[in-house]
Amino acid sequence: MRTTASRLAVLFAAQVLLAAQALSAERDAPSPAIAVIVGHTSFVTDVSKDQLRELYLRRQRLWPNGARAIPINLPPDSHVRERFARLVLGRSSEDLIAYWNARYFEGVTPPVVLPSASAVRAYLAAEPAAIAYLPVPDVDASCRVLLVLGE
Amino acid sequence: MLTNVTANSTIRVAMKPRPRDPAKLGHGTRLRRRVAGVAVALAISAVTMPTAVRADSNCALRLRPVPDPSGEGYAIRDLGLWLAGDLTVVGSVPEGHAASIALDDLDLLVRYEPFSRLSLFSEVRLEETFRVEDDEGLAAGSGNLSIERLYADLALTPTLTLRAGKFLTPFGLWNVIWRAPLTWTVERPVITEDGFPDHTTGLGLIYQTTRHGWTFDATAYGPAQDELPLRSESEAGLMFGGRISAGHQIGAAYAAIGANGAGFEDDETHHWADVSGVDLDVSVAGNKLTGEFAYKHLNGPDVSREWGWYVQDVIPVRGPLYLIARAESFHGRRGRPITGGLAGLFWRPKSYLVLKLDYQFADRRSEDDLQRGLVMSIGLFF
Repeated sequence: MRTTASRLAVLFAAQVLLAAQALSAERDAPSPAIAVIVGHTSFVTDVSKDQLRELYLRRQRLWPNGARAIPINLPPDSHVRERFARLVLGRSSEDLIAYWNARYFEGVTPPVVLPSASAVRAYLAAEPAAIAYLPVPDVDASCRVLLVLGE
Repeated sequence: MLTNVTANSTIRVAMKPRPRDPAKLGHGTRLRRRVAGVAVALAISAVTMPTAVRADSNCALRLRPVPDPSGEGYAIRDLGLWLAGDLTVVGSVPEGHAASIALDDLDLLVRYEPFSRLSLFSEVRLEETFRVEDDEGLAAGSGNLSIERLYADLALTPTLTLRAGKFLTPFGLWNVIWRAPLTWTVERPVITEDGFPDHTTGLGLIYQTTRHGWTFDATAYGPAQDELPLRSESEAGLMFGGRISAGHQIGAAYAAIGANGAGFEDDETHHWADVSGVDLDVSVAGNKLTGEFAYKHLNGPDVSREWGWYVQDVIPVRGPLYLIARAESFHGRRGRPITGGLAGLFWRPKSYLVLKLDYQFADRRSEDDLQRGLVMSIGLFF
């Protein structure tokens, strides 16, 4: 058992080192800030980073007024989505696999996906309960910015 | 996705009970059949009964978001319905015993959200349909049909939910997600199986929030153990418990720690038992380290205790291939303690297919817990 425990410890330490290296490489690459947005007709006037985490992990599924919250994600291969996950959820998409497995077991699935910035803007304009994120340069006058992340 | 049900969509559900001869049925059987009927009807009625979904000319319907590819199951958004299922085939080659292969589980999950604040959930499971043993050939298994879960969630506020029905006891990490295709290994650690009742029937109050980057969860539940089994062997008796956990990002890692406590009537001795435990969950770069410890104290004339722990590391190798290492120990109230672990592989080449291969080892041979040898499984989602 002692051997098993030491092997586990070595493997885990190696993983931590690799993760630290990956993160340091990521910090070197400049990325645009991310704006958290709603449509202009939305009743949502403010949102905190903590509340965003609850919404995007589907732990909180209602707005304070009782309306069903609709968080919108970008596609899984989007760099913006990965950065948003790290900034808001505190984990990479890979680290969230086990989390979503557990939620799936309760019938709760990840936020829905729209394929592009223009689709996100158009959806927000029509759905007041929706919330999304886009790189700041992709935000136009049809959206209301609630929060800017990673400035 | 379920979140897209329009607020003023209406869904009429009518359930017509089947005529039965009450004289021929015992009270328990009638209750179980009624409960089973509700679970199955929940799935069927929402699909087949008349619905009046408002035709919405809103352009939101033309720009419909799609489910995330990492999500599973089938969502019928206008009905607020989500359906999913899976089956698991398990093979084992234990040391000193005959090899076997069995269709272990067939599960159907249904979630129905008629209103934004209310959701209904059921899991019906068919167990051990058939089994083929090396020296005995094909044999019919128990074929038990069980209601694994059947509950309603009412969101009292965005952070507080009232749960009523039968649900998995929220004790530790493993017990709330032990369905075979979703776990990293074929067998669960012994302490998560033997320490406390798997199911609670009654009420649960769930509080979830994030404050200043810290994620907090608190759950209280009771008053009964598994009372809706739909099978002969059942746990019964009072049970109360609670769980609190807190999680936070630490550098590149996300760590969560939990504390659990429960009191219940032991199904063997019928005396009061109390169990407490702690758990740890650390994620970093796809690597997942988890561990649980639980201690159980049995009251009554035959005072005894049992305790155990496990530590498990899941290491990403390449793509959807993971290596799993686990060490565990269990000190039961009878017999000698057992210590061992496993080394395993978890591979999910497609979103609907999970393959697992584990080699289990232990410091002594056991008939029940932690059998030495090779175990493997194929899990299919549908």
